[in-house]
Amino acid sequence: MSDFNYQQLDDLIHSRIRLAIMAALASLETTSFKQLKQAVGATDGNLSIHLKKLEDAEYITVEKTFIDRKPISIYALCPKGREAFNAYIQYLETILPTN
Amino acid sequence: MTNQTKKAQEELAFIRSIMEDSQRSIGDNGLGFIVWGFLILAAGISEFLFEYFNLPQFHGWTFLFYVTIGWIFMAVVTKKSKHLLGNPLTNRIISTIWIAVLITMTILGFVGGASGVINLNYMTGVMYTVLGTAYFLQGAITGKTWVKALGFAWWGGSIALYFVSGLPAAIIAATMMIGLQIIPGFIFNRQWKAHFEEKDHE
Repeated sequence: MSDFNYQQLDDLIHSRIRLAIMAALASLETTSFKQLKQAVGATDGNLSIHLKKLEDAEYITVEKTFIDRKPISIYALCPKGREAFNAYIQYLETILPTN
Repeated sequence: MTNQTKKAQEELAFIRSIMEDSQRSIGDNGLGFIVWGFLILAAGISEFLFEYFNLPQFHGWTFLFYVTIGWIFMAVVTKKSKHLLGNPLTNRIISTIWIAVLITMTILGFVGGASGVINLNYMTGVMYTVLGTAYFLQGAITGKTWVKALGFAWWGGSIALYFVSGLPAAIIAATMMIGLQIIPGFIFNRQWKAHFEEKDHE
C-alpha cells in the first residue's frame, strides 16, 4: 500500500504503552492502576505519565473512590477515547490486504 | 508484503493480545465463596448435632434456614456490588454460571430431597458434583489452572461421597468445604484486594 501514512495515525495512541492502555481499557471498561500495570507491563512512573496524557486528551477518565477504606483510582475509557481507538484500528485494517 | 503492512499487522496483533489477556480477568472478591462455604458448613454441623442429640423435628429446616440466608446475602451483595475490575463479559458469564449452579443445587436439595427422588444420605455427593462443574468452568474461562483443578477435586470427592455416609461422609464433606471452597474464597479475596494496593503514583 503506497498511500499508507503513519502521520494519519493518532499520535496519542500511537505509542506502545498508550496503545496497550487503550486496548486494555477497551476490553476491561473499568480497571485499577495495578491491573493496568499488569496488563501493560510498565513501571509505576511511566504508566502514570502516559495515563495523564490520555486523561488530558479526555480519552480516559479517572475516578477516585474508596474500597475497604483505601483510596483507589479507577480508570475507564471515555466515548472520545473509544472513538479514537476504534478509528485507529479501522485505519490499521485498511492497510491490510483485503483477502 | 510491504514494510508498512507488516507494521500494521504487528500493531493489530499487539492490540489483540492485550485485549485477549484482559478478557480473562474477573473482579470477584471471593466473598460469595466464603459466605456460602461457612453457611453450608454451619448447616452440616447443625444437622449432625440434631442427629446426635436425636432432634429429628429440626431435620431439613437447618438447610432451608442457611440457604435462605445465603440467597438473601446474594441478593444484597449483587445489588450493591459494582464490578470495578475485570472484563464485564467474563464477570457476567462467571456470575451467571454461579447463579445457575446455586439454583440447580437449591432445586436438587429441596425438591429432590423432599420428593424422595434423591437419597438424603447421599445428597452431599450430588451437590458436590454440581459444584465441581462451576469450579471447572470458572477455571477454564479465566485460564486459572488451579481453579480448574478445584473442579476435579470436587468431582473426585463427590465420587467418594456416593459410597460413604454418616460421620465419615460428614468429615469428608466438611474438609472439602473448607479446603476447596472457603480457603479458595480467601485466596480470591486476597487477589482482589491486591489490585487496590496502590503506591502513591500520582
